[in-house]
Amino acid sequence: MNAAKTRKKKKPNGQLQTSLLIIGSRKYKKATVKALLEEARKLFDVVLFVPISKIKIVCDKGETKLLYKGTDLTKFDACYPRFSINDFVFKEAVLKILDKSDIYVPVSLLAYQISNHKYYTVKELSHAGVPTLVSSLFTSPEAAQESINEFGFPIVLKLISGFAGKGVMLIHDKKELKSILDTVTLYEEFISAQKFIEGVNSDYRYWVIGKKVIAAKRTGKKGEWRANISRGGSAAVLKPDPYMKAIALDASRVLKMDISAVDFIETPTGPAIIEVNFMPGPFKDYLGNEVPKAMVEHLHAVVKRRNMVKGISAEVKELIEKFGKSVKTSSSAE
Amino acid sequence: MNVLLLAGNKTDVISGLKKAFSENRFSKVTYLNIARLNLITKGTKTYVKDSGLNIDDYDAVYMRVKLSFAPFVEPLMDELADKSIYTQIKRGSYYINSNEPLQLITLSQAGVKLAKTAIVADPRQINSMVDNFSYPVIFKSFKGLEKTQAIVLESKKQLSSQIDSLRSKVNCVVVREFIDAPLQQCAVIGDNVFCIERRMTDNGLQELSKGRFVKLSREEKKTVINAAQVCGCDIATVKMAKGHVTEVIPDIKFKVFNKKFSEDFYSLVAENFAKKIGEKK
Repeated sequence: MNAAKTRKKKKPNGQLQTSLLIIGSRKYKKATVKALLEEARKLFDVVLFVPISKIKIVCDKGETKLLYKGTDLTKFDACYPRFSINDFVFKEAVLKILDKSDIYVPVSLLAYQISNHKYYTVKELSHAGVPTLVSSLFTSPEAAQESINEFGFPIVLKLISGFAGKGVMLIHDKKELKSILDTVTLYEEFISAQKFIEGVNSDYRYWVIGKKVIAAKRTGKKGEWRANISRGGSAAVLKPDPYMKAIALDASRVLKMDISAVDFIETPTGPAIIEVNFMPGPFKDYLGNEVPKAMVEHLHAVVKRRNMVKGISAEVKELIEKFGKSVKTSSSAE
Repeated sequence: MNVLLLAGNKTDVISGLKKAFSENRFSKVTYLNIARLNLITKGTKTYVKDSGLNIDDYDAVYMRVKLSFAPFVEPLMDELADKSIYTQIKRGSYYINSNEPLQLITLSQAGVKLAKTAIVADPRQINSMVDNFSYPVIFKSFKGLEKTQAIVLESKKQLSSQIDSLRSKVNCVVVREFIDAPLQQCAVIGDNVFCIERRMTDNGLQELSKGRFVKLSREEKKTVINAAQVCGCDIATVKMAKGHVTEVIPDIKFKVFNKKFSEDFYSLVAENFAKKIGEKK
């Protein structure tokens, strides 16, 4: 971006102002937004939350703008998009614009597309040597046989765009499989299959926020094989295991996500990733504001670092204008 | 050279392509319904499975699968790219081309000329913009990836009225200034461009089969090829009016173009594939 067009205001101490934009969905959980905004106001000079329903994209005379009440949103220092997979058509367009702008965004369009696709996530991570479960993807009952040959029963079927444990089914035999597949293919859904790990109704969530990692263990309610809190499960905060921490950081790096939540299960051969979340919830009942605080601190740290670079460039430019090209650097000074 | 024709049900187009590939130096030409495929990821490898299929046998895959299959096709295309198997559509492109607003942004950001366009999630946001357009405009609404409506609106009043009258839930609305010029529908096959011009009649846009052949200027041809490339396609239909691109579709109407140009477009595709495979080797 042209520095002249985006002249940033300086604070009395000479440092550049910092600004944060948070974009959320229409049906955004207000508690999480509130916590993020509360933390953001402690660190950022300008903080704005914009519901995605209020955003306009305009393509005109060769320019593509992301607008809210006439303001070009790409002029902010950082943006944290908190998007679910619902209504993704417009969200993908927004992320595409953010990707190409100068604004810092901790997650990209590609990260959104891959992390919201349960099989694609596993595939990318697996190829990078990150431990995951053997998984398959198919679109028809006819193709399911290859997966059954691979995994045997019981098998876990996942609709690739499901979340919060929805669209995840445990199938015990061929009859159950046929019934489910016939229903699912009627709606042209895509199905990922994995081997079921017996005796495990708990998993681990590792939030990765920059280089910081926060961990919790989730346990499903009695009789429920999924561990999601939204399905009646509970959580306990943990000290991150060094090995799982390293895997979680690796997974986020592979998917190019500076903020994510990595879900693991224990298998006979060690922990394996089952999914990576683009829009992780903060488990407020167990962690208070720790996750939103860490998110905002990370965003602020990145903006400060980027501003330092911009600040130096602006100062050097000023010196050159004042003294001409004969300005010496410290390395060549006598 | 060997090519796999990956599609939904077998159609006349697939049969035409199969014949053309066979007659153009391709010794093995196989049609497969994509519904038969399985992708299985184990460790650092992904296997493309159908009983008896060995994907490594093929130099190229002609992908003729509907765009709504993007969630299956995209991971598959990764595998094909990693094995240096040529496809006429690049990875990432199914996602781009299945989402019209995303396609428009992609084109705009790449400097492809578009008519003035507004895109919103909530149609009511358009109300504050009605004065900003020249009329008529084209109004499109989407529910998921599916287009629920596409109509021409002649005035601010009609646009406001259209927004107020939306009954069913929509996730996205695109409003674009209408370019008062014939629509140029171009078939792009590599560096070759063939254009049929369709005029507006009293009954709406002329059918493609009734349009007339036009020769594009060098600049227009460059625009069309660029638009196809930006959308990741070596073979595509690019729609344009007065130099403004309106849409890119990763497929062509073979039957109409074959008849209109007295050319065998199936053969042109096969030749293009042979050329691309040769370039890779």
